[in-house]
Amino acid sequence: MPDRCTEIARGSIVKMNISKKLSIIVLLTIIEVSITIGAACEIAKGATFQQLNVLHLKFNAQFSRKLVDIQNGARINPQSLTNVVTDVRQQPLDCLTLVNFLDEFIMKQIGTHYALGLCQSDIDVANSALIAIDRYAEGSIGRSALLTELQTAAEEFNANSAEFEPPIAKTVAFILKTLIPLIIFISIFNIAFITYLSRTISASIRNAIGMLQHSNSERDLGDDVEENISGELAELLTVARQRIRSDILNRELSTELELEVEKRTESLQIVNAELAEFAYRASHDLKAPLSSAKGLARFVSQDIDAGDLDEAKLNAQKICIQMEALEKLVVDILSLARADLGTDQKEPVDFKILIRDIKGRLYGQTEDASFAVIEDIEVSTPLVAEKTRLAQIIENLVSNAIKYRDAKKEKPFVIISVSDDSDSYSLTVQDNGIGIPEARRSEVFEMFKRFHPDVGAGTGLGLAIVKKHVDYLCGKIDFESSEDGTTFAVQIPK
Amino acid sequence: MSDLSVLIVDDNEVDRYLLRRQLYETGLNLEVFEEVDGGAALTFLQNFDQNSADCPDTCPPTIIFLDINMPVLTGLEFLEKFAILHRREVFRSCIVMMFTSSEQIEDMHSIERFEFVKDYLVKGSISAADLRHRVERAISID
Ligand SMILES: Nc1ncnc2c1ncn2[C@@H]1O[C@H](COP(=O)(O)OP(=O)(O)OP(=O)(O)O)[C@@H](O)[C@H]1O
Ligand SMILES: [Mg+2]
Repeated sequence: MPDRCTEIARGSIVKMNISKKLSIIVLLTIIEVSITIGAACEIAKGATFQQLNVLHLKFNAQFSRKLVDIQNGARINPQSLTNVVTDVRQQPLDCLTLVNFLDEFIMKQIGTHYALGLCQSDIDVANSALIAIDRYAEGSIGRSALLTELQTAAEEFNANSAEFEPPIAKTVAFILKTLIPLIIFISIFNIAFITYLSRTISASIRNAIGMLQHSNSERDLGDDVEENISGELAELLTVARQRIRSDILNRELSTELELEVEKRTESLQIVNAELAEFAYRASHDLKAPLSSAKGLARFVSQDIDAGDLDEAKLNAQKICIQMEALEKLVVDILSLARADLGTDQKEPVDFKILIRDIKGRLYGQTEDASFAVIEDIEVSTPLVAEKTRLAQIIENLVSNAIKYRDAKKEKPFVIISVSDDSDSYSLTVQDNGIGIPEARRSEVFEMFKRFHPDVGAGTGLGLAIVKKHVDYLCGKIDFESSEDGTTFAVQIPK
Repeated sequence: MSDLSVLIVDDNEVDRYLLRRQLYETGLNLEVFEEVDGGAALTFLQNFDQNSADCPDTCPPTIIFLDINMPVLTGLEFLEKFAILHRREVFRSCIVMMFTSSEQIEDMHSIERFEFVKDYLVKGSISAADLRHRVERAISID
């Protein structure tokens, strides 16, 4: 299955890291450049060889001329002879040092290696000629022996020179013929391969972009990345995703925090305003009976001085009333403060006993035989709560019913009924009193609000206390009122 | 015949009694009316307005002593309604002296815009001599 295999191979290239692809491109380029440089060097070397050969021929000619002169009877100058032979020997020496392993290998392959043998034989011939010249100078051989020696050397040199030319030319031609196509081939391959790699790089980037653009909101980006993208891009996307996610998280957290702070600040401001209002009203209402009592006391002594004892007595009674009002106010403020605390013991509440006690406390106000307090209590499971809360709720509602009774009605009454169902207790206090003006409906549970100032004394805290207790018990309170009377209904969850 | 008639508007009976007695203590010759809240006081004044045609001798109260914290119509609500009434000829000479136990600064600011409010008395803090002095000054400013 070659197709599948190439597919896999291609797949493995496609999946390769971008940095690996880039290093392959760099490596290929280096190889290409070094082969090109190497070929250029080889070709230059071929030219050098040709030049050396030309030089060699020139020195050979010099040497031959000297030899002809000597044969014609010229005096032998060993020094100048040595110089000429050394010159002749120099070029084959240079040739051999220029040749490297690769050259030798190529020459052996194409059968031009013998050119190097020619160089070596030239060197050997030159060396033996030099030895003969030295021996002649020492006087160990004669003129004719030297001449024969030099004669053979000259012949060898000429023969070698003639033979040296063709193999070098052949080698250079070979190098030109093989390296240039090789270079061209490698370059074409390089260009193709680099193009392919860069295509795969840009394709994987485009692929990632496309995937991000059309990402299916139901699928997790992490899975998409894992399936479709690999290498550094996958890493990049994963890191970016984590970063973005944590950024979003941070932003969400900080907006959440801001909202929370705003909410808290708002509720604090409300509480603050309530507290300021309370302090204002409370101080007003606390100070009023005190300063009244002070003024009255002054008039009492004036009246006594003036002998008007009746007026003095009246004023003393007024002082008493002021003090009672003050006492009630302080007690009410304390109940209001305690309503928020919830420090008392919780116990099952017996409404019958509770209402009996309340009736006892309110007896002074219901003495009037015509005022009827009717109770209707039917509770299946007793309510477990702080008794004082329930007592204060009922007592305040009942005391209002009594206080705001309607003298015009024949039989003033209050009906207290308590019942329960599966999930709550309900308490209603119904009267046939003067009613609460509809216009003031929204203010009924506010502190210090009184709508019948001419009817008896009061602090205006009673219903505020009731509301606080009901809120504490997580219950609800509402009322209905008309000229026929008022009904307060309290619901307390079980 | 009294030199001056005054109206005390206060829901607290004892406070009304105390002010009435203090006003007698000043030695001024006064006729004192009392009302229990702003609404009643407004009705009282409107009736005065209607009656003035019938009995030209009676004149509306020169000084209204006004409490701030009252049910039905508070002192401030009364002042707002009275400001409209005050534009009428009969009430031109009426002045108001606040009479309250609240020493709250906000109250001072909110009543400043009524030019007919001439003074601010704090309950239980003034002597009869003081009261006389303040009443005389308030009338003479007017
Ligand atoms: N059953 C009722 N019938 C008619 N008016 C009522 C009734 N209950 C309350 N009110 C009105 O609501 C006002 C506020 O009642 P709340 O019990 O808070 O104060 P209070 O009775 O005036 O004073 P306190 O109860 O502190 O002595 C009363 O002044 C009264 O005008
Ligand atoms: Mg009450």
